[in-house]
Amino acid sequence: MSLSIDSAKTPIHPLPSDILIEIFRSYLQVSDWTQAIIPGRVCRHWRQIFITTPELHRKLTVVILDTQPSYLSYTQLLLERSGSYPLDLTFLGGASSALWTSRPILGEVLETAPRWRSLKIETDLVEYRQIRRELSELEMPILSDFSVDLRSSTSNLSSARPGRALLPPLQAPNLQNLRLKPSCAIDDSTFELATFAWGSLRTFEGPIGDLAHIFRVLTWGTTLRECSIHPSVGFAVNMAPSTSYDIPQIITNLSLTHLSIKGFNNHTTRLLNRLTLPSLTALSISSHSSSFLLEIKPFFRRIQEHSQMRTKLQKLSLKFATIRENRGIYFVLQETPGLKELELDRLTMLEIRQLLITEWDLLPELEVLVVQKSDDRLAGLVAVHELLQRRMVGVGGKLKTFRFKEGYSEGLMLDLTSKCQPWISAVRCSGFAQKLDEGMCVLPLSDEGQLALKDILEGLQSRVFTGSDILFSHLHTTIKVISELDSSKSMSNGDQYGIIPLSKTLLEECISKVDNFVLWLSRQPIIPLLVIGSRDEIRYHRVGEDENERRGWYARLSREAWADFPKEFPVPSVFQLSELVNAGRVE
Amino acid sequence: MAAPATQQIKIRCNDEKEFTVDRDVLERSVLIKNMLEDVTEQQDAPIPLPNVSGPVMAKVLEYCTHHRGEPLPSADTEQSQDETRKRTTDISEWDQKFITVDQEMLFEIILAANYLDIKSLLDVGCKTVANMIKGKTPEEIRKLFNIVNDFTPEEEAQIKKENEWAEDR
Repeated sequence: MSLSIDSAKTPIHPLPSDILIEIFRSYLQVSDWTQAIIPGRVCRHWRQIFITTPELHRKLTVVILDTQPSYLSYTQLLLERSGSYPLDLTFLGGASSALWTSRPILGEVLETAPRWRSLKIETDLVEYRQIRRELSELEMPILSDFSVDLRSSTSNLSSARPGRALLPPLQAPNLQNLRLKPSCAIDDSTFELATFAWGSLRTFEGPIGDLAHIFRVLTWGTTLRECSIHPSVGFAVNMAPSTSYDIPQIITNLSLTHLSIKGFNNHTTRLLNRLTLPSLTALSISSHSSSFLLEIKPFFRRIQEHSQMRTKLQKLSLKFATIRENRGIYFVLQETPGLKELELDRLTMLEIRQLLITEWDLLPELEVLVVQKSDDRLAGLVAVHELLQRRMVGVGGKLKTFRFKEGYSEGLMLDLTSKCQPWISAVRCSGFAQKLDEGMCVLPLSDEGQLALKDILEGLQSRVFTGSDILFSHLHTTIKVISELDSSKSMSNGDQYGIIPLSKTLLEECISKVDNFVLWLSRQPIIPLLVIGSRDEIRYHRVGEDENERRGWYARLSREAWADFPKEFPVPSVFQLSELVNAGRVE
Repeated sequence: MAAPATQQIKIRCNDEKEFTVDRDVLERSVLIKNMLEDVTEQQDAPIPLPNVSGPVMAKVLEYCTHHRGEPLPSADTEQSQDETRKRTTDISEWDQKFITVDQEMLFEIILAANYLDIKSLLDVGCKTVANMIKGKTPEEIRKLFNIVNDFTPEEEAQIKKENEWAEDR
């Protein structure tokens, strides 16, 4: 093949074909399917490699209702280029199916069913019913993944026929992963008609119309690893299947490692208490109320009886709309001593403190804690600090990651992850560190706050902080991150806040002077904290013994907010704060 | 028998630049690992690497040092490789910073990773190039890599015809 001289000079050009193929493969992973043809349009060399490599055409998205001749020939072309390679097919629809009978593309595509490795259907209910009928006729010998994602339709036809759809009777003997959502379900007929082997499934995800169905899936699913279920439309609580299949009273599944149960509410007890899952390592329960937790003792007891040990659970997620009392959660945590990851919803930090500090022996192996609901009160902040002190930097504490998902939101906490291991990496606020890393952090502060922050930062730059240095500040602020901000540009929103552009360079320079650096900024006029600690120890530091000096320090940061600050409140150390909290003086 | 992790190995690049490196760092390269396993006695002569220059090797060693001790990807089946690829479409923060280099160095690193058989580094390089291409038109890609559009008018017409559907959208 002739190459132009200019092309040959480009550094990308000497790359051998197999590397270019690897690049194209990566490109197809990150690109929208409509962009999948781009590499074949750049130059002759790329095109030659692109169109003659069947693997690069394995992913095929079929827009069911696109009847343009150009689209049909395009799809045919892709099918040709994919040779005999296994296909990852997506049927994309949802505009509903008045034109369905013309089946403009399906005829061609359905013939390739023996090559389908994965099949994904994203459409509405009406269209799905049509496809389901077609699929029932096909043999899919190598299909390993099947998923259905039914969307609500805007068409009249669809809305006139609401309801649920059923899994087709797939002729897919090698099916391993089955994912159905949200209104595609299984029922008795699924078990009668399907020719895939339940005993080969590794993943089952979908709505359950009847508790008996999940019992049957777990009975037959001898290789099932992950199971994620929620009730379907018209859910029934039949404890035994309506057919003659014999489901034992207690279902033992030795392979299941991940179980997620969502929305079964009080039926969760009926479900769990019939299961013995000795291999379970991850359990997620989502429900209206936590009231049933004390009733699932048999579930844990049976695991213990089966394997002569407590659960192997390492990951637990408990999400409840309401928590009436914490005894149930305490019970579950007691039963899961090896837990490494815990996600809790709807507990205040004080409650979590009660569980994980007061009950220090609980969850000694805990490495990751995710808290979804919290409060912004001072006591909550103090509890966070205590928790991290004890579980993370304290002797024997193994906590590595602590994450707020709500409550203490990104406006409240800024962490500088990469420079401040291990302490700060834990105080990760979703997405925030990454944004900071991309560019720049902008803090809209009052005028005094701006000056104070500059002072602090200048101070940081000129001083090497040691182990126990921590400064309090009272920054009444929100945090805004603007990537690609030019630090030379001054910014102002013109209102009561000015904005200090804090460049990443400046912050990095500051951090280079201290081992660890955490900046906590609060929107609320409570005690926001600027905390500086070392690798080994985090403590609140008295700014000075002299009351006036301290007050002067605070006042410089935000005079107005300081006026609201309780006069009798001392500059606290961590231990003083905890005492105050315990004594009910701080709320 | 495996040598102690602290054993130092000398390598020589194509510009005569030499490096002395801990064996476990060098063994991130399957090529060098195999070479070392084939040598039964300790040799003082540096291992020649005729396809890699000193500056590129310095970068590669930076990568290998950072990732030392991590498990090496095994020669897996096609399916499990595909699963691995699905899981790892993201590039870690450190790797992103590491690979933020000029184009020439980027492609040199990719070639070196390919030659030295360091699969994870090759992956990082290819994903980086893929991300550079992502979202761009063919013309923008040509500009980015200084590639000349060498299609004949007939080929252009053929490509246009093939892509009518996409362009209509």
